[in-house]
Amino acid sequence: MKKNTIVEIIAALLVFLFIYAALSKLLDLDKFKYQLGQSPFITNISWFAAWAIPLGEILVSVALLIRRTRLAGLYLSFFLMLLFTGYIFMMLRYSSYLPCSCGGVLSVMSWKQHFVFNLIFTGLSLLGIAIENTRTNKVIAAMQ
Amino acid sequence: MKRSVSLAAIAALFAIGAAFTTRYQVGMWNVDHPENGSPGIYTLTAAQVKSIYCPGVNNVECAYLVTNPSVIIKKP
Repeated sequence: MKKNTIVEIIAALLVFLFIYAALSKLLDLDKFKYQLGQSPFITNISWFAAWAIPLGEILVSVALLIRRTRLAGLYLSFFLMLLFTGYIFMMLRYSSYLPCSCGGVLSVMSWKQHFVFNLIFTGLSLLGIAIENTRTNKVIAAMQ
Repeated sequence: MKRSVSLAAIAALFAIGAAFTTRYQVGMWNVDHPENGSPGIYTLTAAQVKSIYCPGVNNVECAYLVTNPSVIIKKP
């Protein structure tokens, strides 16, 4: 499989994940705010996080959709996935109870399943960055 | 280049569709004191209920009716 095709598939998977998750949250914003308010780590900023997380996910998706900003989108995806994975790790390790703040069908997953799911997508973002970086460097080298 | 944009765009469209479909997906809910009718298991869409979590219990989903927040319902 061509490396270009692999990046395309990774970008499409990430776009699907982020748009789906963002819309699920925005369509039921009151529920999402309530769930974030229950989270022991972000209670104080739950109002801000309830807006910032889905809007951030949409912004990253737009960056992934545009060819010129795809590398930046992949870096942002990696950062976002790392943040979510770290949050789940903290919740699993240090929280006394586990309120779910996930949207749509993702809320059906257990926290451990969600952790593995996030790890896979974090790895995919990293793979996308590595391939896209190599490709960009080759293009720059060819131009010089 | 065109193909890469369209593949991600198709994924975005599918995601929008999936998000709205989930919103109107029906679920079985145990309604203790319905506004009309007797207590029992009712089929409601995700848009008709507001999910909350029973205080102090992990992963036990409760909800209330959008039309009447005083009616607490549970998954059967």
